[in-house]
Amino acid sequence: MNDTYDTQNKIVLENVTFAYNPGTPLEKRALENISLCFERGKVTGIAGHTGSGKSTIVRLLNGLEKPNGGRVLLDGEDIWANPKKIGKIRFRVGLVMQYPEYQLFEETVRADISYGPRRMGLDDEEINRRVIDSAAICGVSESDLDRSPFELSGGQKRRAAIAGIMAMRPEVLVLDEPAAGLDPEGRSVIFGAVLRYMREYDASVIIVSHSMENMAEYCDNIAVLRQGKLELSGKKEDIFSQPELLIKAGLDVPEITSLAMKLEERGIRVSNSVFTVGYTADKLSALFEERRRAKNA
Amino acid sequence: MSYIKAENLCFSYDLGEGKKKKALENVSFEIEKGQYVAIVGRNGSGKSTLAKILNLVLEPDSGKLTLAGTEINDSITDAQLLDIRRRVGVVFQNPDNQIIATVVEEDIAFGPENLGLPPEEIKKRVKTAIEAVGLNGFERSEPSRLSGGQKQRVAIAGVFAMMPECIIFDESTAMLDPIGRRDIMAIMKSLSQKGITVINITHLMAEAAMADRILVLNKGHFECSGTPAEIFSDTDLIKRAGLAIPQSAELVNELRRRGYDVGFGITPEECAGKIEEYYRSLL
Repeated sequence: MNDTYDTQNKIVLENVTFAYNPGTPLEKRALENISLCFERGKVTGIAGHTGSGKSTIVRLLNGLEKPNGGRVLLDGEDIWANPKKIGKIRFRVGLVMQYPEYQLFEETVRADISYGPRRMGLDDEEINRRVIDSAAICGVSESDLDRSPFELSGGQKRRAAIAGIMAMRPEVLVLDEPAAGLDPEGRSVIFGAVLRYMREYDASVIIVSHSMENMAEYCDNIAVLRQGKLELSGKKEDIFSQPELLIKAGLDVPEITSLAMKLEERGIRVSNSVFTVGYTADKLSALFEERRRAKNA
Repeated sequence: MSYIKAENLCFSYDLGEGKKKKALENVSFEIEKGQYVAIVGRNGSGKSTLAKILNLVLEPDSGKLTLAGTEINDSITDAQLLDIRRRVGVVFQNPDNQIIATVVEEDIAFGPENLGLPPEEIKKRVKTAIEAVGLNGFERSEPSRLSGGQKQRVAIAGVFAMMPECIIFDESTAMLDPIGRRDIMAIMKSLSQKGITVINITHLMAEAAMADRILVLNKGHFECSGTPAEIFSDTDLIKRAGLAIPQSAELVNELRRRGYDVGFGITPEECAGKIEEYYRSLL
């Protein structure tokens, strides 16, 4: 995550501080002096324990909350420069909340996906184009568009809900626990759709999750929050090379990372940064082969 | 005689306009008293439907269900049903949906109070239940101020206070963070050690790995059952049933597939041991 003024940065938190109910006896500090940059064309994961401030960041990014201090910059401009226009920001920063399928409400999937673009005041032709395009990205088939959302399976409903956000063509796509409750297949379909959207529209993607395993697989950069403060941030490879710090932040390291730590205790060093099964299998295979060759030599 | 017995259970959802959606087809299995069983399957496998049938929320279209040794059929009396509901407790997914009182100990006392037990007995049960789930010190707390994991413990304590023989956990950790989840897993284990039959319906294989036995559902059918080691080492089954196995097990399976005979394990500790052993044996 680079310098604040790098044009590669789509959206930036600059020294952001936030408290709920500020100035009252119920004041609760949620974020303290957070600076974070989210690049376009990259997936950034925000990890943290319950109460670490993850959800507050999500709410700040699309203007549901206003920082008490610091700024949120979208393409270098303060999103609160003109508070009356904050509604427009929400079209540019799309937010997929947790369990978004609970928010489907229209009679047909098509009407539901059209809702956002219609609120943007687009004409029917453009709306229709966007609905078909977003549905395709999310793997919602055309024949399902005229069905009731309630006839779909859980995974399909979730994809329809995400397509509804994508149809607004947000430049920043924020997803809060997008894979919660899904099986492996459902999970990879959702993340596949998000990556496709990102590439097609050069969007910046931000994923909030408890699951370090999902982060390991799909994120480029990771930020770790702890009690409202930024504990760690950087490239995925660098973050997973310091598993002790993740554990300190109350996070579960991916199981494969803790396996690698245990192997290291036993004198078998896999690599300095382990976070996926395939990579670990490659490294171990190489170690086994090396040992075989040493024996035969 | 088995404690829970399902014989050819079938169930379809009515979609209206004469349309039906099959959810379960000829599902049969048995669970012995005192076992710790996980029921797993991908989305749409029929887990949730089966959970609702086991909770007596849904009635199967056909087939026979025996719970706590009693066959559930049309001739069952209300008194028998009440008795079964006391003996087989359920903990649901969302803790907010199952807490009713404004004080933890009152919530836990709700069930035993409805059994019409003497106050002394209720007090004793609430105390034991609080200890069983590790909520000491939270007796007078307001449930709404607790974390998700703590709320879920209140719900378990409420069931425990009924002194059930069996507790069914229906995706009870799905809404919890990793720490809340670990707490609930530890409680399931300790309930099982107390002799309670524990059934955990889950899509998380790390949870299923803790059980004595795993039942696998796939597309509404009963696929198979086995120990965690049997299930997780069967790579064909995992693919067919769309299961996500623990990463450690996935790694040793992958190494074996590549021709390195490292054996099999489920936990990181176990797998690290196997890999080390294999590595040392190469020289």
